[in-house]
Amino acid sequence: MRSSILILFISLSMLLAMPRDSHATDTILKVGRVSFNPRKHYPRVKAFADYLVDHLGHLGYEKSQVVFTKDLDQLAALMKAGKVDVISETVYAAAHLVDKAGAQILLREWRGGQSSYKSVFLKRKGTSISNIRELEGKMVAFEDPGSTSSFYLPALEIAKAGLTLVEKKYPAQRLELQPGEVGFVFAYQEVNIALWIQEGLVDAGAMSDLDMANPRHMPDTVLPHLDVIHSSPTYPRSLFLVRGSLDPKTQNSIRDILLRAHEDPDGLLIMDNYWNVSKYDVLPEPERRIVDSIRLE
Amino acid sequence: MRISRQLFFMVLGTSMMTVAVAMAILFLSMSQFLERQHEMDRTLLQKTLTRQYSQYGKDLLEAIEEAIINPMFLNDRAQIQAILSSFIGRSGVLNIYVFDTHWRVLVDGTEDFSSRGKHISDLFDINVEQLKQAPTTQNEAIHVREILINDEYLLGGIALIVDRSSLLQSVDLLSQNMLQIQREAKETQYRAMFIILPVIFLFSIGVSIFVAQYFSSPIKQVARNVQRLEAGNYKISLPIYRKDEIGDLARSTHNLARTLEENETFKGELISSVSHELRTPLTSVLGFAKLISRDLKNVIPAETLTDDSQLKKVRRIESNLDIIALESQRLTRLISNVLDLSKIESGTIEWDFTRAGIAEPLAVAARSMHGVFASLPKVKLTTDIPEDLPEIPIDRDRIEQVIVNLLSNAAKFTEEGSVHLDARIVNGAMVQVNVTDTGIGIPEHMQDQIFERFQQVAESGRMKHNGTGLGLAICKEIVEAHHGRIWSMQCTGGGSRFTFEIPINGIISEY
Repeated sequence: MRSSILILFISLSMLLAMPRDSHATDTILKVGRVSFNPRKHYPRVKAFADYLVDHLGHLGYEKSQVVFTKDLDQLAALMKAGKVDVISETVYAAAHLVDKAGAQILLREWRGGQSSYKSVFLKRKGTSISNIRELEGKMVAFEDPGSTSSFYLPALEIAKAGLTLVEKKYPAQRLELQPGEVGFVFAYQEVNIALWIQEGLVDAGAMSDLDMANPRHMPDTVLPHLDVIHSSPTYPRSLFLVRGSLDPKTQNSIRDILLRAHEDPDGLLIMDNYWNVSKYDVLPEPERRIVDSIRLE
Repeated sequence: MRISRQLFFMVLGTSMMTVAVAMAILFLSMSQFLERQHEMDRTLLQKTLTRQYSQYGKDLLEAIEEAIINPMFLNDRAQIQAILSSFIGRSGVLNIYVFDTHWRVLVDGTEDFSSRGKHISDLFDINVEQLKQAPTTQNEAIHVREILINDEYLLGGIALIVDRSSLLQSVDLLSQNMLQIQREAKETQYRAMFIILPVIFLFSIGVSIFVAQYFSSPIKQVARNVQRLEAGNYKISLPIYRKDEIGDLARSTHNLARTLEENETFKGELISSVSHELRTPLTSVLGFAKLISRDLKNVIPAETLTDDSQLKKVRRIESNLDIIALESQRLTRLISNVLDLSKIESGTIEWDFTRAGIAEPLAVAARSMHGVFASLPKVKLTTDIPEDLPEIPIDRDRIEQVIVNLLSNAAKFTEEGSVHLDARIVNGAMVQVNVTDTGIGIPEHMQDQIFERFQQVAESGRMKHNGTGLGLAICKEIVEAHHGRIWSMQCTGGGSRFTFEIPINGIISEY
């Protein structure tokens, strides 16, 4: 923790100490990331940033900079202030940055070979819940407040169903729910969501379909005891965003670099280390609309 | 075998046997002790390690409970699983189960939660109460603990399975190490014994020699002195001042020697006195017998007697007087011989050794016997005495006495034939004198006995009662006084031969 704060402090200090001259600023590419473990993430993000800078030399970029923040709001603030140029984020966080920092979605980011995913609602077999509306008065488990697939998107689905989410501290607090309310608790681990549903601690839980297919998050011994009662629309797995005020030439150059990066062995290795990224491509229009709809929500 | 050797081997054998038995007992008891100790060490080690393992299991269980109690409150199964995973595989932990309040598995330490929902009794085939007693199998130890909040609120339970085979392996390993150490200790003992054994052996030899000497030396000294006593030498010295039986034996031997010496002195004096006292009347008897015989012949000449009965009476008186004279002479010789022998044996005889030619005494002795042989018409005395015999240290009279005795013996036991006296030099070192006769000879078994006192060959009728039985004994004493030796042998054609040798230089050389 102390080292994280130290690196953050150093990063911010460097930002503040940098000259205000726009030309000088533009020679540094600043890559942002929300992290609770900067020591672990720095080498990977730095390598990715350097890869971009190496290919942006014709635009005057000479070096890169990694900017870590402790949460999304801080990241949005820095991006809005022009202190973060590019960032990779999941759908909900991306929508937040578009709204709050004027970020622009540049490309769709494939992770682990997956271009998109969706959130699924699970319940224990043998219970009477058959659709999302029947979650009224029930307790649902999500992963954590920052999870797109296991909080924001499922919450959006519940809202679409006309129900109100109410956070509770313990699963046993379902008795306190009012009509039209759906209680929820954070399990902080996908596997806890699966186990809680199986044990009956909660009535249902939500996670991405990718997590549901991953035995580390959904044990093989538990999955047979669960049923899917609802699925969200398909969302892009991740998005690559740029600061809205970033020079269009730079944006275009970055787009071109990333679209070809998976064809470059060095680029592929760096992307894999960066966010388990396997590829960048253009965000399909239907998914763009879904992202936009999130922003509207 | 000499007593010193007997004692030596007896003590050596006894000590070696004692040492061997002691070593064997020591080895056996040491081996048994080491084996028993090894078993005890192994048992103790196993008990100690088992106890420590048991305590270790309890401590581990407490540590696990401490670690998972918050995740248990938060139902954070993933966190519990992560905690359990961090324990499993370390320090012999095979698996850990976390149970709900009904002892059904919540988390089992595996990523796929394969045991979830199973009841504890299905996992271990025994009930919870039995499991709480920390049962063990050959390879596993199971520790079960309830997770209680403030000792009353049951949150769940934990079961810990510890690998016991590692414990047994540790016991085996340590046991083997101890065994190895004990083997090395035993080998060291063996090596030490191999060093000690020769030392003990040498020490035993030393002790044996000492003991053998300590006991045999005075015994040998006593034996030597007894042999001297046997040889007639009573001047013995026994400086043994021990207070044990050997000391008693030495003192008794010494006293015996004194007594014998006194007796011998007394005997010599007695013999001397008796001889003297006997010789005087015998001389008178002999003289008067001869005188009466002569007077009888003069007073009553035989040719004057016409009456046969008177003549027979006179002949009988003459014969009786001859017997008196003859027996008186024999008695006189006997007394002389006894006196000589007594003087020789008591050492009181006075020797007159001078370097002189031996031929002369031989010739003198032969001449002195002419009278005897003249009375034996069927026996002829011949001599072969070289003139060039060397001068040697001799007592002439005694040598003459020896020759006279031998010739006299030969004459006695030869009825017909010859008696031959000869002398010669043997090997340039000895003068050898032989008296050979054609008489009755000497049986083989008596060849040595005849040189003992009062030993005679079976006598013929003619020589009956005519010997003293001391002549050859005196010869032997005289020859040995000249450092010579005397022996007899049977001649091939009959008869016997007496031989004596005297060293030319007075010392017998071995040849």
